[in-house]
Amino acid sequence: MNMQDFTSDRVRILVADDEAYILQVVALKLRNAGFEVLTAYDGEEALATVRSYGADLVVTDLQMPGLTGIALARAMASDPKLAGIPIMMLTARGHLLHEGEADSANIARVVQKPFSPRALLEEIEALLAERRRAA
Amino acid sequence: MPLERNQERNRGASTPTAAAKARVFLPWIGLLSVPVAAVAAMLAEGSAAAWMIGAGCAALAYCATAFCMPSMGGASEDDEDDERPAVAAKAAVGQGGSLAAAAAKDVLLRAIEVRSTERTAILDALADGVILVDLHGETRFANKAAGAMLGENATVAGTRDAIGALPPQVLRAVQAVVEAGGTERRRLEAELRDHGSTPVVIHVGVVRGHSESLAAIMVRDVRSEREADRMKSEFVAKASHELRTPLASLRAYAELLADGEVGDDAQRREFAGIILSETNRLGALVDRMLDIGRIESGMARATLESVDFGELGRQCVEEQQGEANRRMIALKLSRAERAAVAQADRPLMKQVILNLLSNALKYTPDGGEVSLEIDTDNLARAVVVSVKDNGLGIPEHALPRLFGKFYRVENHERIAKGTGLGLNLCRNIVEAMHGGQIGVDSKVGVGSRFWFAIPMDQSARDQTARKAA
Repeated sequence: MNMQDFTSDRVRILVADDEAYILQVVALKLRNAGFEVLTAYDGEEALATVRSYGADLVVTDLQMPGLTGIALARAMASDPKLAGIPIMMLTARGHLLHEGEADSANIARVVQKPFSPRALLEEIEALLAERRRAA
Repeated sequence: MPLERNQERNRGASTPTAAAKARVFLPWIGLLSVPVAAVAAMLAEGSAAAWMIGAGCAALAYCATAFCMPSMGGASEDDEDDERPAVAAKAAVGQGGSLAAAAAKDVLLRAIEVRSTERTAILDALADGVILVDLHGETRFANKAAGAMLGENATVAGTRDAIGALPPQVLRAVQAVVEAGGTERRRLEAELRDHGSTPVVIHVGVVRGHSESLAAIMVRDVRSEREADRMKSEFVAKASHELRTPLASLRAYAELLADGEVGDDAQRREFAGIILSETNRLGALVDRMLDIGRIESGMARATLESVDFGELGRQCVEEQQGEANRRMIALKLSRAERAAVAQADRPLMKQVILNLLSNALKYTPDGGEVSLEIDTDNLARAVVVSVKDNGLGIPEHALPRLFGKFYRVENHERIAKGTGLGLNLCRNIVEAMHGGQIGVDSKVGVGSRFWFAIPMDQSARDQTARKAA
């Protein structure tokens, strides 16, 4: 976990991916855009991190060893303190999630790998704006 | 048995004169020979299954029909596919004697019996169910496979048990094809209402006789085809995932470089290095997929030569020594005193040994031990190559899947990158291309021993192949 800038008031995003290069590039893009970024290498670490430090948004890979992205999202959906945190799922599975899978686990967006970091950032900003309007 | 019933029917239909008998039997004896010969030829060539799905449907159905509709057939009495009974019958008619007529009758009946038995045997030998029904769905004939699929009752002629055991749309198809006549055929995909809801493909074709039209229903169990489709889809999904992962890195880092989102030259070099590394990973993955594809399709052939595995092992250890030194891992070679020589493809053997050594180094902590052992098994007449390490070890539940495609042991993924295809390629090279064997013994926290055995000569290779079979 990276707790750089942890004490700031900026929007905090947790990024989870077992692929170190992807984790690094997404974190860099988001930090460059002014977000505070926490990182985790798998679902279990991500769940522990979000439980301990909270987050305004979680960006997670779908296929990770141990706790998968879906399992992480379900665990968050069943925890009243974490259920309101939007989740963005990255997937290299080559197809979308099964029907209803995204809804049942409160997954707000699904982004296919390979993805454009620029487009990912736009999606994240749009999602956060949507949530702010709804709040 | 439908056949016995039909024989009874045949006997009952015969008339007192030999001429009349000849008129009744000769046409269908000749007619039956054509489709049955076609079925037999197809069976001999091993292509009966494919043939049945196509145009052969009508011929098979005709064959089945002939058991219960001896008067069926539009060919003239001049058809003489089997001339012996016909000649005997004609001779009897010519002589006009009652003894000769009786003899001719016997000849005919024996010929019919032999043919009927043969044809039942052919239809019963088919893996697909073949059922002949009338417009109302009453069974006229059903082979053994139909009985196995639909229940033994389904083979009883004169009942609606067979059609009752099939999905309801089959009866509608039967009615439609019989009413339409001609060459009308229907293909249905359905599930049998058995315990496992067996997926089947059903073909319905019309068989037009003199007095009525019947429908031939062929039922093919497609569980193995569906399983093959499922495995293919799973492979494509896994391959897609494995290809997309390095592609995702390539795209993301290239975009950051193109957008100028790099802090300094050091970061620019780091990104370029990642792009290079992920390009190599992608290339290795594609190469391995192609290699495995070539081996599995039988396109790849081993170029056999006399390989001294002791010497080959020395070269492999030498190549990996740099990485071992960097990680402070003691890499040792142990060679048997006697020569370990076998007929094998040298570059492929080197590829397997290097792959096993590289894996051992990846999953052994710094300061550990890895050894390559070259030995011979005199009993099995094989060279045995083992790579031992005192690394992480592999959980027991993972061992059966270890040589599969794209399988990575949980938690090993984060220790070292890999394509998930290396061990599968090793297995293909050793077993499919060299008739050898590959395996692993491992214990978590203790270490692993990967081994493979290559037969020393052709007779040992044949012995291994027989054991494997």
